[in-house]
Amino acid sequence: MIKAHYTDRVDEIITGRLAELVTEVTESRTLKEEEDLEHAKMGQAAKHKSMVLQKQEDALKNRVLKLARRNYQSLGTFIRLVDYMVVETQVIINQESADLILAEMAKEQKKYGIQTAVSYAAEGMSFEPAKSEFITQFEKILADMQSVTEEVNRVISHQDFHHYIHGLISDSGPRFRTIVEQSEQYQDSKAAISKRINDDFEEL
Amino acid sequence: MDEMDEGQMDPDVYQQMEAMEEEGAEGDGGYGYDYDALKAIIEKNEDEGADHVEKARGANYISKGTYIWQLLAQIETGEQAISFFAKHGHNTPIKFVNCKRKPVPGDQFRPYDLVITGDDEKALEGEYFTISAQGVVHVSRAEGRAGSSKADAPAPTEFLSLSEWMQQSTLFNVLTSMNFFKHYIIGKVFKLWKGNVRFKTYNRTRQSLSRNLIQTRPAFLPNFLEINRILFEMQTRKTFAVPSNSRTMDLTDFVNDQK
Repeated sequence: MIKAHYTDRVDEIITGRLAELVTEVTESRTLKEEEDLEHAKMGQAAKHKSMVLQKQEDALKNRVLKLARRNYQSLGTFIRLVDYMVVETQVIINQESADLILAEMAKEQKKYGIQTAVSYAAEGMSFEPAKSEFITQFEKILADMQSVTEEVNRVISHQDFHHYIHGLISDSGPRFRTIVEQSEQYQDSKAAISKRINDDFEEL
Repeated sequence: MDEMDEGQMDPDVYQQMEAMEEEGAEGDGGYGYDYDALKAIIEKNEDEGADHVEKARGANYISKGTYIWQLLAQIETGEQAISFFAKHGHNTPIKFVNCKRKPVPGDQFRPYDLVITGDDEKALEGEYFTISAQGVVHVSRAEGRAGSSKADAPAPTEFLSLSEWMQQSTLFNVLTSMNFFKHYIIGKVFKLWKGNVRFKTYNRTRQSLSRNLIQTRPAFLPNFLEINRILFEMQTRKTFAVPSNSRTMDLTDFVNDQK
């Protein structure tokens, strides 16, 4: 469900925004010549413009075409920029989700809890599920959260954009998992969650 | 002696002593100073000095060529004027002199350096100083600082006694000889220049960015804003779902809920 939410948003960006933009910018490179239209007016007298007006129009057309060509050349860079923004959003979502777990753990008055059975023996207490099981499961939850975020489509992977970004990047661009694993903030949050579980068991 | 600083001897006395020395050297080969002759010279000189002071103090008006006129002509700076009044007080026909600030290069600030205006009446139209035996009067008809709330109000006239003026002048000279104050104006101007250069560079960079940034171009801007909105919406849902029911659950149930 949550994965669908992310996928829909990225698809909206790709198909709804970028694809439209690519079409608009590509079409803006060609201006319909008024003269061609005038030739199409069969049987009507063609209106001749003054040379000054013609020159001004030509200069304006050249300027517009130059801008359009510049925009077209920048399409690849813009697509890459959007790809970076999407990856950044994925990283933020992952970080904020980890922080949310930590915040829920730190709450004094919780409405819910996760239970464990305590057994008393001569050697001491034992828990079922054990502390290590809790830690493993929470690590698994964190890994699943990463996977959900990571599985969202990449903007630069879309086949329609290959033509524009070809030659601009040597590899696949920013990698979500690498960024997350190298993030000190995320590693701290992850360690804090394990420590919190450990402390809770120690208190018992 | 009147026109000389203290500790200096009248040139006439020197000439007389030199003449005596030459005579003595030609004669007996000694120094040639005769006690009586020296005493006579000194007494004569003292008498002449006393006469000059008497003349100066006794004069009723300043006429050209008189001793008092010469004294007045010798006063060129504010400091000389102050020393004149400190010496003679108000006993001479010279009751006051008008001064203006000494022109200095733009990188210097010398508010206590004055020069007399003489007969130049135009110099009295703006800011000027009147030095008398009582003290220094600072008259400023110039308008206040531009931009201040009192832009149209002239600065008030200020009076300082001669001793106060000299004390402040000396303090100012001592302070401005310290490195901090000595180079203050240069440092201030340099800082201003540096700030202006930095601001100019910043403006150039800002213009360059606004011209070349893709997302600010009219063709891209609406889509860029829309994409930002979609990404913000995407962030509103987290990958961790906080359990809504207030209950205690198994670890397995908790993990399954998150899937």
